[in-house]
Amino acid sequence: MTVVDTPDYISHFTNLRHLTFANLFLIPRGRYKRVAEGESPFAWVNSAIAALRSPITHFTIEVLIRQPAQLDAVDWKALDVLLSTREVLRSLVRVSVVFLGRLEGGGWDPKSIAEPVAVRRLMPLTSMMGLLTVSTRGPKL
Amino acid sequence: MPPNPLIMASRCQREIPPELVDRIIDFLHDQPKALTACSLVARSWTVTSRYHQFSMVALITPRCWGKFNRLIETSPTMLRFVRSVIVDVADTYSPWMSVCASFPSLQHITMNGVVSPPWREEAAAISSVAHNITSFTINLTVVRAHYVWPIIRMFPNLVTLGYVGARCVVTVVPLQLSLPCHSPPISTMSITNTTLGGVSDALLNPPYPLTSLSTLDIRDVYPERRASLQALAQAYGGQISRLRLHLRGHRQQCTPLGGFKPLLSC
Repeated sequence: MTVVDTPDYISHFTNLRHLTFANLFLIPRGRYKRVAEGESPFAWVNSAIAALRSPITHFTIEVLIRQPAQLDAVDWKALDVLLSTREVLRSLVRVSVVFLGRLEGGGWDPKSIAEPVAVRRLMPLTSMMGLLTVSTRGPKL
Repeated sequence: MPPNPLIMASRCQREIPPELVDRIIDFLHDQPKALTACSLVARSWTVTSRYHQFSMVALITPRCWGKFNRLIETSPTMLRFVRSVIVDVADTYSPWMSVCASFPSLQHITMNGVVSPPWREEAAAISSVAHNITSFTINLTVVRAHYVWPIIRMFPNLVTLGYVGARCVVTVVPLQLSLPCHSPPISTMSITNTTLGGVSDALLNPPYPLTSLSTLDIRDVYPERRASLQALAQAYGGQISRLRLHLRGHRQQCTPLGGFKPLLSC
């Protein structure tokens, strides 16, 4: 089941500077499946950015992670490619990745688990050096 | 002779600067039990504790109303701490505006239930705090389209308008209301749709141009609402500088703007 679609209305926002994609499910799994097998989880983000008509200065993605193990399944390279190849993202001054932890199977602390992993994974991506901030939001244990 | 612990505690408390105490209590802003404990430590701690503890009240069931009434009977001063209120307007004649008017520091209103035309007396009552209201959210509401904007336009300084899972019911009876009519400078609009129905054209086509609108938060975009969103984008796309898109289909609990939870609820 493919539910990835293009928000075609985004092309009308001609004065956009700050863009946030919230509640991204980057892991195709279970009932919250949001992307088809073999399809990039960034396809929806990609199609939305392709429709943009104005340069973006602040770009934020909020990634929903239900289990710590899902961090390893995220296609971080795709994010790097996305940010480095799109013309409308050339004027970026800030990229934020926010992890939204959700309790599942006893719960976990996104602050102590997700942040170190994300920093380790994302920092080597040179295109985002100096622009990237990583933070977490989630339930308290 | 061993020192009296009460005297020592009092001396220690005097030695802590009040701004430091405020800073410590601020960290507990979302922990009601800790705030209750702090408010009992000393009189000097009470105001800061209550500032957070009663920052939001949810009046959504008869039990809530009863609990709230008992509370203000014993401690009427807590009314001044309320900055955000969730009211359920399930009853057509619910005096929600009069209740809101009793909170002198009120800034945010979230309305659940059925939007009905306000009584003239109620409108007069809320005028005393109307200029404080900066955020208004219509939450899980059956909206009679022509009631919405007259209510919104009662708040001259409104900047944030939220529309969460509302369903629009358009009635053919024209409405004549003698209410204050402002053109609030709405700069942020949040539209969250659940499975209840389409985005109301009444909200997307306001009675006056929203020239200050610069931030748009769109959640759960379903295909059947595309036409409305397309119209919104065409109308305001040139002035929107901040856009927040949620991937569609995520069934999240509908909460007021910011997703914060009330500290005082039943």
